[in-house]
Amino acid sequence: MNAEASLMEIEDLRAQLEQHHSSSFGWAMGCCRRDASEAEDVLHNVYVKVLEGKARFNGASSFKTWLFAVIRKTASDQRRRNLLRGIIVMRAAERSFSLPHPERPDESAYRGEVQTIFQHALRRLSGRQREALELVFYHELSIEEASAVMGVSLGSARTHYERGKKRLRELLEESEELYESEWGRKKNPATVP
Amino acid sequence: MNQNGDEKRIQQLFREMSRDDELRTPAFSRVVHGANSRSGATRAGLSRSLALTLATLCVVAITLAIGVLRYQAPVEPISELPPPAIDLPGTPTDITPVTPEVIKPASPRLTVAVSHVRHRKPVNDLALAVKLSSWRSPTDSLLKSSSDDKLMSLPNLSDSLRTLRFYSLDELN
Repeated sequence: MNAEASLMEIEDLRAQLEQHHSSSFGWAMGCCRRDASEAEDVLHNVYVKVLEGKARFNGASSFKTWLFAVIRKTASDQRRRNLLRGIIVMRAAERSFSLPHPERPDESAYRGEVQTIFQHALRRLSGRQREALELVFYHELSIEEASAVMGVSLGSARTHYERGKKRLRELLEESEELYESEWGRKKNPATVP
Repeated sequence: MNQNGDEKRIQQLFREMSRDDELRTPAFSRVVHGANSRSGATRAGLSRSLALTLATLCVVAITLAIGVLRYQAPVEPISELPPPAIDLPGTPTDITPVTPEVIKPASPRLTVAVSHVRHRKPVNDLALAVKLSSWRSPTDSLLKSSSDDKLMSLPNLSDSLRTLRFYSLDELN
């Protein structure tokens, strides 16, 4: 009877994980500096933790908020371990040879450039600011939920969010100016003094 | 750009990023079940890096050991140093006794070695002097002969001619 209940619980957990799989992967990407392979590793470890009962949902927040907090913690632990073992460089080198770089079609080239600038600007934010912005804008959580995921107070999360937004705006404007000047120079080299 | 416009723009950029991520999202079953192969690969990578680290440590340890052994090698004693170069006048066949004036100064190596010893062991100077004064050449016995008592002594005035018969007139002069 007990085993049956536990099996049902696991099936239920599995269904919930599958439901949030896409957004979980997006958040894992954010926690792993947009490294898809590392994000997949982290997500796998999270699923194992949840399904084996090492991480238990106690219902204090929504399932998504709790799951995001587990992903954040797991990614942080994994990054620390990887740094200690010194295998990040080796794996990055392996990936740079193994992963194909898909060519973007012409019509999406501009979007790709903008995304590159945007992600570069995001990387220049502090970790907390980036997390706050991603949780609110990307995952559409409230600032309160974001504070629960980040493990900080509501006031602190709000501060990170506001400062992050301001800084991101400045960085984007700065990058766009640079990009436009570079683009202008490429288009018409004669105008360059 | 106003505040509201900024937020909209940031949101739009995040949405585009989200769309890109969705395309790259691996299948749920793959993430759940792909554990064993990936962790196995990670373990293999770890053991490889561990072996590499151990090999590096071994090389470093051997290099250090060799360095330490070389450093601890005995210093060449002074008696084993080559004799100072002596400039003999004339041809090599000329066996004129060498006077101290014609001996050239010792080679720089000997000078350095002696000064080094003096510097390192100032307390043993007396012992060194005693040792040097009591030193006898290994070929010292070859200089001895049966007529040493006659060679090392001079005749007295009262000695008879019979006693003096072994000496030549030149020697007596």
